[in-house]
Amino acid sequence: MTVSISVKEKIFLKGQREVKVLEHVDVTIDQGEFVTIIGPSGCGKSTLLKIVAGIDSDYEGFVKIGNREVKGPGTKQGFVFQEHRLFPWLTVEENIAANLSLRNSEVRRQVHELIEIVRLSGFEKSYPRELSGGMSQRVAIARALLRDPEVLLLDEPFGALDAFTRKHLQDVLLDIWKERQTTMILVTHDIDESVYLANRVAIMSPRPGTVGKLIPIQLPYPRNRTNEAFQAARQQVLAEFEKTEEVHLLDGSGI
Amino acid sequence: MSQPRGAAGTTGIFSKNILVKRLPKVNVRDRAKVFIRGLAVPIFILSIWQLAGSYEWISKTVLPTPLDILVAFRDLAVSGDLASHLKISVWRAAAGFVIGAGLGLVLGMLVGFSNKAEHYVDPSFQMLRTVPHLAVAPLFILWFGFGEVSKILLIAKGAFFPVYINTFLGIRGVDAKLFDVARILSFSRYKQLTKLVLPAALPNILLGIRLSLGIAWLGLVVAELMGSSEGVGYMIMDARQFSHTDVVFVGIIIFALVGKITDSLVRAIENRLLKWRDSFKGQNSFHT
Repeated sequence: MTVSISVKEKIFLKGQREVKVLEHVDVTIDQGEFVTIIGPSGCGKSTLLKIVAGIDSDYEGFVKIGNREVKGPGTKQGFVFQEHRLFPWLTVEENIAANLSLRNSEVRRQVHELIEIVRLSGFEKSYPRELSGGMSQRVAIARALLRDPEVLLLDEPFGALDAFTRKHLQDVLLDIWKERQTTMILVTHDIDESVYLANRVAIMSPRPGTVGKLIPIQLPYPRNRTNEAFQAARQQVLAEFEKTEEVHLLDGSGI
Repeated sequence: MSQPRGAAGTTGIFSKNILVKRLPKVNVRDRAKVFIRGLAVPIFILSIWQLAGSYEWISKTVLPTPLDILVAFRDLAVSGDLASHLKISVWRAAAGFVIGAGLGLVLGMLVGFSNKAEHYVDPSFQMLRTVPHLAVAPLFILWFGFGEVSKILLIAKGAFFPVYINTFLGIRGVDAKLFDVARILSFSRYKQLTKLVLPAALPNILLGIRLSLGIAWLGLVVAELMGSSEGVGYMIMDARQFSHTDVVFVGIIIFALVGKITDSLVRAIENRLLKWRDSFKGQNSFHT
């Protein structure tokens, strides 16, 4: 499903002051695209993602998935948070099923299929406390995927993980994307990650947050971080990114 | 199983020695040793107590000897008096507990969910909570007589508040971040309750139930002491009038035992229901 984002304005109240967080964000993402959004911290990228998810509806503008306008949160806009946010009292399979019943054989079949996909076989009956951070995050991804979302929104999902786990999960996510063709929008502040995953990288500049350029990354998957073409793409994104950083510093606002 | 942590951080030439010495070897012989050590003090006290009674250093109406108490216990058990008193007491405590704790659970949930309900009823409940048992006991007797109703209501009054307050706190303590997840996954109200709110509040609710059981037992004693013709409390009162101090002791021990047994029961349930929890279980604990 095509995702059209058109946010005219989003304002936060900080004490008595109004702070414009987002302004004129107009992006259209086609069905099956993998778009990463990068930007310095505090540029409003998480806010933008929450607007797309329908969690935050206090803004001017609209978000459409296909022809349907997003009015509130729902399973069709799958969301993965930075922290896994699993229910500690439910096992892995119960967490993925959540409000759906495992007694339903179709649900059970899909849950187990997803457990295979995120490579957690053998941990069906484990509780979140017995899982590592990376494993928990995989459960969270499976939980979102079970609802067959039209778009999967990921808010710095691997930000808190170590480098090895992160690389591994990036590959898991790419596998899922290849297999399911789900439209993905992933927010990150890691340039390397954005280039590794995306077919288009959106760069946000802060205060007020707006999407400048969408840089297409026309490299075949799976990508190799060490090869020259990858480095060239990375340089291109970095160059754009640094432009926004300069503006940011000139403002004297700091992070 | 836990490893000793105290020595792990220390460095120096002695650290290795200390570490070896502090490793707890939990085998049967050591456990037996610990058990025997634990018995030493009670046995010593009981012997002195028995001697003091046998040599009549202390009058038996003040302090009957352990053997006297044992004999009194046996007599009461054989005659069936103990069983019948205990049965009626347990029934009263159970009835009062079910009514009080049940209402506490329902109202605690209601007030926990709804701000409006909290504004309406919570101030009144908080006011009632501080009123002591003994102060309302005469009122209950005036209203409901000396019968079972006033006793059970008195117990229920005590059992209500711990469950009410802890259920309320448990529900208000649910992580708001998980509510976001529930919204995104489109939980129905019912699923929100069964998959999110109740499990999250369960540790608090169970704590409330444990406290409430203790207070129900306390309320029972007050209820039975204020006037009744059967029950363990009555047995104590009756024995006091005839200076049967040994029977008083039997009554006290029965209260302590049943209290401990019910508490252990709830703790066992707690361990089962809360096995998902990953919390600090104390250092150097012997059991896993």
